[in-house]
Amino acid sequence: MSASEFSVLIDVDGAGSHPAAGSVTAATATELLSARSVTRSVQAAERAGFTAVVFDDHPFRRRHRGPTP
Amino acid sequence: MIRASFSAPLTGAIGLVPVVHSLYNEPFHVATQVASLDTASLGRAGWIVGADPDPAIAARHGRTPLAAGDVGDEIADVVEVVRRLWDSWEDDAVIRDVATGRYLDRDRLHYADFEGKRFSVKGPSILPRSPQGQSVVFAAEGTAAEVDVVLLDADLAEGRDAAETARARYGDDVRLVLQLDVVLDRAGRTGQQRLDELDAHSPWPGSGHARYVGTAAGLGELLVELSRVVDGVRIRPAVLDSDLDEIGRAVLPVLRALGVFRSPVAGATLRETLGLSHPANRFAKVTR
Repeated sequence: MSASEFSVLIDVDGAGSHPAAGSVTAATATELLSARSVTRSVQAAERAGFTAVVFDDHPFRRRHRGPTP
Repeated sequence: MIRASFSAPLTGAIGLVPVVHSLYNEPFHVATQVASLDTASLGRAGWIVGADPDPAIAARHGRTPLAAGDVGDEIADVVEVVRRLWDSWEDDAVIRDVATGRYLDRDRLHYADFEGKRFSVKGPSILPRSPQGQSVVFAAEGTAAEVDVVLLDADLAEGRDAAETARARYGDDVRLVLQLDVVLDRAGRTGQQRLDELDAHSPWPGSGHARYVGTAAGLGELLVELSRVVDGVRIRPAVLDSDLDEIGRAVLPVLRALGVFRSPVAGATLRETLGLSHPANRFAKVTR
């Protein structure tokens, strides 16, 4: 097998991987889960030239809470 | 999985790699869902083997929770049966022979015939072999299964040791990817200031894995160093919009200019992008 290329993957979940990312992002939780938001993140990652995007949907972990009402 | 499938027709070069919870889902469903993603994306699918034994997930699937000690064996069985199902149709099984009215060559379909500790699967799959044949299997270090990419969780000081351990265990053909939290300087504020503000809302547990907080230039230098130790990084950006934009604008172009990194090209499969060969079909080898 040939020498492998270095790869750079990026997680594209909600507002970000930090559990408080939603609190510093203007978008609401509903907007972050919208088709438009997914499209925007994935296409931004492809334009930037990342090797791959990672989607980490945990069935229960709530990672992207907005500010507490 | 849903977001990955949705993204397939919206993209043409980038790999699509969902974490698919694999302990309590039916292995047959995991196999067909990932194969469908691979077909829809023309060969850009990966599968991160999710192995969280959380009883709440078991309950949602109507399954009995697994003891922590049983997780390793179960995951090994799941990966094996998924790989067998992916090979259960040979690449040229669909013949569409009008003259004889045959859609399939039945000799090119194979039973998975898997008997594991807790489940068995007869097969074959319900889908033709996908473009990559075998989608790229990602799993955490320690997973006792046939894995293409091992995800390493180690802090930066221990990265080299973790890589050597994994290389010794999985062999030279495996790709090693270090998981890395990233918070960059952005819009006049340092990464540390941004992280402090986020942590004040709710802390980001970070012990035991790699984290970079600082300038884009510094991240570029770190990735150049890491490229001598591992085959890639999985970046977890603290805030997606800000950090993705900063990396795309100020880090990846530097790596490309140095010849350390190449972006995927349109039409390439994820296996090709990662330098993995098209896998032979395990059943075709036996029968021919």
